Amino acid sequence: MGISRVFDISKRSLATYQKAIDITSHNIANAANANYTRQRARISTEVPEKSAQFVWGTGVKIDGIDRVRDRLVEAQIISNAQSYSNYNKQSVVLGQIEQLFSEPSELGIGNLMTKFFNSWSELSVTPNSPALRNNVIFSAQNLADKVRNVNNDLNTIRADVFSEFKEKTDEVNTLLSEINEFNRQIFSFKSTNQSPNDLLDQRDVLVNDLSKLVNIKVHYDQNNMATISIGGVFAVDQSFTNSFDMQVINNKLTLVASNNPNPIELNGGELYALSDTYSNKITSYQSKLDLIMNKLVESTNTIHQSGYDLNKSTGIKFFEGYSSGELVINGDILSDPAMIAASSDGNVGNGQLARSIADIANTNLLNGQTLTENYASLISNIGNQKLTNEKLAEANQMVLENLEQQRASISSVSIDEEMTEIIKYQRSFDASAKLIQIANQMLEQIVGLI
Amino acid sequence: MRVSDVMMGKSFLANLSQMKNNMDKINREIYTGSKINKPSDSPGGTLKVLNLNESIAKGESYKKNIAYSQSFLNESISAMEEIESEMGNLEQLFTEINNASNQPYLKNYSQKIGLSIDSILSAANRSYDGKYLFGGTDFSSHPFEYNADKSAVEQQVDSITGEHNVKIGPTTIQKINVTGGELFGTIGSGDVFNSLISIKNKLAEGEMPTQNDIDKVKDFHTDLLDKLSYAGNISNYLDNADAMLDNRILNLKNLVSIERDVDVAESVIELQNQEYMMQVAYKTASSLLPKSLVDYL
Repeated sequence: MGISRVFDISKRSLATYQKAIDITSHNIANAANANYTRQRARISTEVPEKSAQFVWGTGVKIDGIDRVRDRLVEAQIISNAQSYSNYNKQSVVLGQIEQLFSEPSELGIGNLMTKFFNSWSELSVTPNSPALRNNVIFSAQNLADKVRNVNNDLNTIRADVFSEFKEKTDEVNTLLSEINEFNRQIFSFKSTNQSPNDLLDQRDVLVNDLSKLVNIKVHYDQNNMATISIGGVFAVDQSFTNSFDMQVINNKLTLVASNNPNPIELNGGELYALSDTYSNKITSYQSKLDLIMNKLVESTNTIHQSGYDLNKSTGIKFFEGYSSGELVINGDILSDPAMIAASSDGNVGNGQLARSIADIANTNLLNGQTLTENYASLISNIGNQKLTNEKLAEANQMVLENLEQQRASISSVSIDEEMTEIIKYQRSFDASAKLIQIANQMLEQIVGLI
Repeated sequence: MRVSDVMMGKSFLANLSQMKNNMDKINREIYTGSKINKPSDSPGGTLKVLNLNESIAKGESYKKNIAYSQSFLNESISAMEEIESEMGNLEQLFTEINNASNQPYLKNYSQKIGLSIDSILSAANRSYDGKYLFGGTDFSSHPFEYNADKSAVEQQVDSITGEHNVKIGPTTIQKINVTGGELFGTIGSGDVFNSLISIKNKLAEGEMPTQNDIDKVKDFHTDLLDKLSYAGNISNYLDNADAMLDNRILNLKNLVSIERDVDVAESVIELQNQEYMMQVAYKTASSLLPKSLVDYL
C-alpha cells in the first residue's frame, strides 16, 4: 500500500464531510421553515479494494441525502385536515347565520312575534282605540321587517357561499396544475439520480393545501410520484391533470370533473362544508322559518276574515300573504287601521276576534308546539349545529396539532442536533486534513532520504 | 421524543392561542353580563331563555290589560256610586212624600225627581276612553236618552248587553263591565228611568205615586248595590291577578337570570387565573425559546 492511498482516503473524507456540513447548513437555514423536512446525509464506507490477499478500506462516501419523514403520520395529517377544514368552515358560516337572527334579544323574530300577538291582546281590551290599532300595524311591520332582513341575509350568505365554492374550485384546479408540474420536475430529477427533496417538500405543501379544500386520496409510487383522486375521481398524476367545475345538481352544490358528468361525492374539506351549508342547512332553516310564517299568516287571516272592522265590513285579510321571505300586510289596512277586524259581531266594543288572534300565540299549530316554540326550536337547532361543528373543529384541531407535532418531531430541524452534527463533521474534516498533513510529512521524510 | 425548534414554537403558540380564546370569552361575558350572547353559547339555554322571555312578555301584556281593566272598572264603580247616592236621596224623598204635611208640595217633589232622573241618566251615559260604561259593546251612540217630549227614556243603541271581556292570562278571560241590561234591565218596561218618570208625572199632577212604581225603584236600588258589590269583587280579583302576575314575572326573570347572567366574581377570578397562566407562559417561553447549543459554543 502506498502513501498516496492515505491522500486518496483523506481527500474523499474531506469531500464527504464538507458535503455533510453543507446538508447540515441547509437544515439550519430552514430551522424556522415549518414546511421543511430535515435532510440527512447517508454516510457509508467506500467499497474496499482487494490486492495482495488483503482487503484495503478506501474511506468514506455519501450514498444519498434522505428526507427524514413518517409516511403514516403524513397520511393521517391529510385525512384529519379534511375533517378539520370541513367542521371549521361550517362553524364559521353557521356563526354568521346565528348572528343574523339576533337571538336571544329583544330584536329577534321570537320577541317581535310575541309583541305582535300581545298587540292583538291589548287591542281586544279597547277595540275602538286608534292608537292600539296602529300598535297592531307597527308590531306587524316590525315583525315583517325582521323576517325580510333575516331572509335577505340568509340569501346573501347563501350567495356568498356559492361564490366562495367557485373560488375554492378554481383554487383546487390551480393546485392540481401545480402538483402536476412538481410531479414532472421531481420525475426529471429522479431520472438523473438526483435528490429532489426540496421539490418534494413543496409538493407536500400543495397536497396539504388541497386536502384542506376537498376530500382526496393520495398514492405515491416507487418514484415518489403523487397520484391524487378527489371523491374517487382521478385528479392528477405526473402526466395528466383533470379539471373540475362547480354545478348545482338536484339543488345540491357539487363538483364535476371535466371528463365525467357524474357529481363527485364530497365528504370532507371546505368544499363539502360550503356545499352542505348551501344545499342543506340554509335551505332547511329557510323552509322552517317559511313554515312558521305561513302558519302565522294562514291562522291570522282565517280568524281575521271571519270578523268585522270598525265599518262593519267582513272578509278582510290582515296579511296579503307570505312569499319569498316577504311577510306582506294588507295595504288597505296600512292606509286605514279602522279596517282591522277586532269584532266578532260588528260591535265596535267587541274585541273577541282580536282576542282569538292573540290566542294563536298559545295554540299548538305546528309539530305539536306553538309558533314561538317552533321558532325557539329552530334557533336552538342552529345553535346546536354551530356548537357541534365548533367542538368537532376544536377536537380535530387538537388531533391535527398533535399529528403536526409528531411530524415536526420527526421531520423538522433541531438546532442543537444540527450543531452537534456540525461539530462531529468538523472534527472528522479536521482529522482528515491532519491525515493529509501527516501523509505529506511522511512523504517528505522519504524524499529526504534520497 | 425528539424535540425540534419548530415544535417548541408551535406548541407555545397553540397554548397561547387557547388561553387568549378563553380570556376573550370570559371578557365578553363580563362586559355583556350575559353567558348567552348567541345561540351556540348554550343552545339549550337559548331555547329556555326564548320561551321564558315569551312568557314574561305575555305576562307584561296581561298586566297592561289588568291596569286598563282596573281603570275602566273604577270608572264604572264611580258611576254606580253616583247613581246609588241619587237612589238614597230618592228613597228619603219617598218617605217625605208619605208625610201628610208635605202633600201640598208634591209638585216640588216632582221637580226634584226630574233632577234625579237627569243625574242618573248622566251617570248611565258616562264613558271612559270612548267606551260607554253601561252601553255594552255598541259605542255608536250614548245608550240612554229622553224621547222628544221627554215622556220616556229610550235605549239609543241596538243592544246594551254586550260583554266586555279581557284576557288576563293564557286561559283566563275576565268580564269587566256591568252591562246596561244587567244594571237597568229592559228599557221601556218597568225600568228605573220610566218608573221614576211615572212617579214624577203623578206628583206633577198632585197625585201620590203608585206603590208598584216605588217598589220598582227600590228593587233597582237593591240590584244596584249587588252590582256594586260584584264590581268590587272583580276589582279585588284583578288586584290579586296582578299581584300573581308580578310574582310570576319575577320568578320567570329569576329563571332567565339563572340561565343567562354571569357570576361576575367567578368570571373575574377565572380571568385573573388565565392572565396569570399567560404571564407564566410568556416568561417561560422568553427564557427557553431563544436558547440553543449555539449560545454555548
